[in-house]
Amino acid sequence: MTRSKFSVVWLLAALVALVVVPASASAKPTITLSGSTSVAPLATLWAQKYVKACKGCVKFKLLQGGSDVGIADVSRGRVTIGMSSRDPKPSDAGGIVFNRVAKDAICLATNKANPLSNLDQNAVQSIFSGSVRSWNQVPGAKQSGTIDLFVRTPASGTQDAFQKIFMGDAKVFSGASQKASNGLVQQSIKRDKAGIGYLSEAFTKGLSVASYKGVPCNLRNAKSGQYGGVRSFYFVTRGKAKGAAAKWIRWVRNNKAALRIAAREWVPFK
Amino acid sequence: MNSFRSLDGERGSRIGLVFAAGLAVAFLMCLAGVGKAQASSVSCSGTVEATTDGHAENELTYNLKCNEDIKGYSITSNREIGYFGTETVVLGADGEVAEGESFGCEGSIPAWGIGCQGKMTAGNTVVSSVGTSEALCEAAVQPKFWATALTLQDVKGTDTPFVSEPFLLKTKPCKVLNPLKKAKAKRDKVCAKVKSAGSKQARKAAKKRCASARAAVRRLNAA
Repeated sequence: MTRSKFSVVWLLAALVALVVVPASASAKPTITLSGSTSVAPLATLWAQKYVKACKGCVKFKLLQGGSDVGIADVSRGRVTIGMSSRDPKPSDAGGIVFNRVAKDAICLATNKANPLSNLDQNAVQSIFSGSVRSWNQVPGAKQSGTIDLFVRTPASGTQDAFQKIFMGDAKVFSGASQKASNGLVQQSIKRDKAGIGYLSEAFTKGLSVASYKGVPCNLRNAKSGQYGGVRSFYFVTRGKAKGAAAKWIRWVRNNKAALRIAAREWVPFK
Repeated sequence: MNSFRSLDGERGSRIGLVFAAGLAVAFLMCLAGVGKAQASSVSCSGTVEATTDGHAENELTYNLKCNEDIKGYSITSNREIGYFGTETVVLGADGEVAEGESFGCEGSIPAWGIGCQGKMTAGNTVVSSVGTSEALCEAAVQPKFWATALTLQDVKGTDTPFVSEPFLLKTKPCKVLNPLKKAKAKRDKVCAKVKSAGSKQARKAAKKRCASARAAVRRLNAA
């Protein structure tokens, strides 16, 4: 290469650097999230606070779809963080990391017209497996006739956690009405006097919540560890979290404001 | 011969007129059909107001009602959105929750709007929330929010998605725009007079005004 050609190449490289470097330096990183409809309400609150706290250092893009969708998305590199309300499964793709960010109580809820004081694991398994199909067979029920079961769709982390914590080896009744979100379960039970379902504690407003194994499902009992139906919320990353996502996860787990936000309706990380 | 030409003038022209009118009506009906297929016919209305029991900062509750079934909607604003409710409630005309009707909302934070997918029957009302990045009135212009609806309309037997025009949602106007900015400017102006006061009495009065202006800024900051 002659000296003049060499100079031209360097000049072009310098020009490209001048154009590209400032553009990339000024671009804010975007953290994309998808997954659990249970984690999403908490994630939006954290995102708002974090954007304000770090003076707009980052932008978030929040999608939903259910825990399985979030985990699949992050393992394929479609999003930065997969939101999950279930524990890792052997069937999950390799190379993903479950970062616990909070905990949440799963409550058993009925219509206000049909309050149940307590359900033990046996009763939960009998009702949700379909072996007990009538309210007449449920001690303490004010309702009579067929039990309307509201459960979550298979992609849901709440469904998975419910199966693991409450059902054990018993299978959820195949004739149960499957709902795609906590909000839809809440609405269905509100409308149906014969309805029963399970949902995140944050969505129990307007419903009658039964105690489980003699312990009321509320935030205080979930935080103290007395309530048995508690599951974890995770931010799932592809490998160890890096860059803006790592900073955000650290903030979510340690910052006082973030912990205060979580403590309003969920169990904070610490 | 049973043709227009064979008939006498008056009767023939009357039949001709009726035929022409019929053709015109048919043509207009075709046009109307085409028009329906090419534009959304849905009409929506709603309100946005401050939430008193919300969890997010600067939280506002919105509601939206449409005269046709909708499959989605978006809310946009001239204020930056820093939060949105991820799930919605759909209420029937009786005020009770409408079974099986709901929307899941997605979007960016911060952004100028959100998008929600789901379903709602005509006449029902969807209720959810958004939060602005700054206090609602902390801007130079009045806040505005618009809703756009997604409907499915029958075009030649196929359900085709149509996006409506933006509908302006009713919002209570701010009594004072930029109240914090104005209060800070007043504080700076009033407090500067403390140093330049000519007499002891004037300084005392300026100090009092300065303290009051500082308190006003603190109140607005806390709010």
